[in-house]
Amino acid sequence: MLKRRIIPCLDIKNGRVVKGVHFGGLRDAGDPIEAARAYDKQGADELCMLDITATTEGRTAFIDVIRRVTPSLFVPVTVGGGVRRASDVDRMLAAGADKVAVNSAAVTNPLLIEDLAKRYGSQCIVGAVDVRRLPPIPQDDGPVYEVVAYGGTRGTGLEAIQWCKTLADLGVGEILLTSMDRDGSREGYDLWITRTVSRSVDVPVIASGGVGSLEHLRQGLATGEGEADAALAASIFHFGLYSIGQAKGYLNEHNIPVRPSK
Amino acid sequence: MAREVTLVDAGLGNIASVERALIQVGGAVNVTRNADEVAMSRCVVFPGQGAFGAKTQKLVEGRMGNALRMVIERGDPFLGICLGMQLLFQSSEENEGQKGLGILPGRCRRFPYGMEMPAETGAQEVAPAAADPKADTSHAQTVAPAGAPPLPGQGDLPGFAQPAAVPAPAPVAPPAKPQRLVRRLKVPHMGWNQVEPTDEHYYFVHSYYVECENNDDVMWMTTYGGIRFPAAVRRGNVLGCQFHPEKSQRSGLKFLRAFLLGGGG
Repeated sequence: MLKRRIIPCLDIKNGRVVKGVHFGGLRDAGDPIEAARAYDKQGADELCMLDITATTEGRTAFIDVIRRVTPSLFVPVTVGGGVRRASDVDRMLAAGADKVAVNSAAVTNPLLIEDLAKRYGSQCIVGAVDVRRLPPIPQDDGPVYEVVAYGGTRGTGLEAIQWCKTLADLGVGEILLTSMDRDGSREGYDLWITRTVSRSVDVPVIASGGVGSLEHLRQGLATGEGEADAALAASIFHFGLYSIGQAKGYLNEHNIPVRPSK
Repeated sequence: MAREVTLVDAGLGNIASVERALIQVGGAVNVTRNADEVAMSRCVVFPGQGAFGAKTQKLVEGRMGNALRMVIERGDPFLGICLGMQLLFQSSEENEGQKGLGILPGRCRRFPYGMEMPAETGAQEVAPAAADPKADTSHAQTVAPAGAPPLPGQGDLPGFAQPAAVPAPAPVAPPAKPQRLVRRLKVPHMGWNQVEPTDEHYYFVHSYYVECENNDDVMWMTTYGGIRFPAAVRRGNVLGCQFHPEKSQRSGLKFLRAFLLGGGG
């Protein structure tokens, strides 16, 4: 049986791991190389690294981090942040990444996704989608979510579920769905949007944003709740709250199929 | 001394991680795009990602295809990874005209859309989120009555509940009945799956699977969405794996080392 994946995520700024709340309020969470090795040892199923710097120096530092982290890792590594064109993807793959996540550039230029999927294969291209829940208005049938871009600074006017379907049609091999409302909140994943997107697209969906406990991981992955194929988390692993092994032990006890960590 | 191994860069995806993994297990790796170099190699690894198409057609019919056949026919150790394994077979279901190297009898098929499986034991549909954005936090969520439980023993089995390999068209599950909770299976088959009979986990990413005509060629099997298919194939000096050993952590490195040592996994 295919196992559901646990993916620790490292947000990288100027070559350091940082962690924020609602896409802001960053605090230092350590050295990326040490963190990546520790997660690998603990049995992480994949690793994700997102560059959250906007400067040229930051970009160069990020490529350098990929180059230093990947040689000793033999699990898939997804990277992202600031991908604008094919040459950015080239650079990241050459530095040792296995998959590249594209976010804002897909919004401004959807055909970029088609081009990248053709060039590198769908399995290489992850559609990163940041969403926020819109304030409800009377007689709404259900919650409505908007896609946000540029690190949550700009609304796009795109409805989230339709956008995820479009990305899948354009050829992404996977969708990384992050709730901006929940990011860093430790309130748990936004289960409604995660489940709804997961049921609407044929490609795997990674839940992201809001994990504060092992129970949140379970909710994100459980059928009927978040129903995601993989669960991404940052702070609960960074600050030594839990190890990957503990997370998998908990999920295993609660009938979520995971790869044993040893 | 390190075993010399030629890694074929046929333009079928990123090979950097395969190179690193081979070095890690003691290989002296020569990466090449040159068909003549491949033809002269005494140990070849042929990785690939993606599907049969114009690119693979050109490869199979060209000098590289001949070089790969030459190595295999000479009896030198050969490992095809993912698309590199699929290309050992004759053809692919889609793209009717596309041929593989035809070393092993069989063909590739795409996982069907709309595959489903029973939910894990104890899964329950949570109530739809309330209209107030604050009201759907985990604490506030009410749990709806459970649907009928999943089929006994199926929801949480570690991989191979299916009786036997069925080389028939993949069964597509009927539409979900409202009272039973099912889970949509995604394509590509992406992530860690267990192979039989060894029970090890390996990392898979693929939308097509191989239907092997000759059961003797199958080394390991795995199951996804009720479809049981070869995870690794072997005939004599030719080894193929559907999973990515270079991304399968310790299990994958062990597999590659066994190949380099001639054990073939």
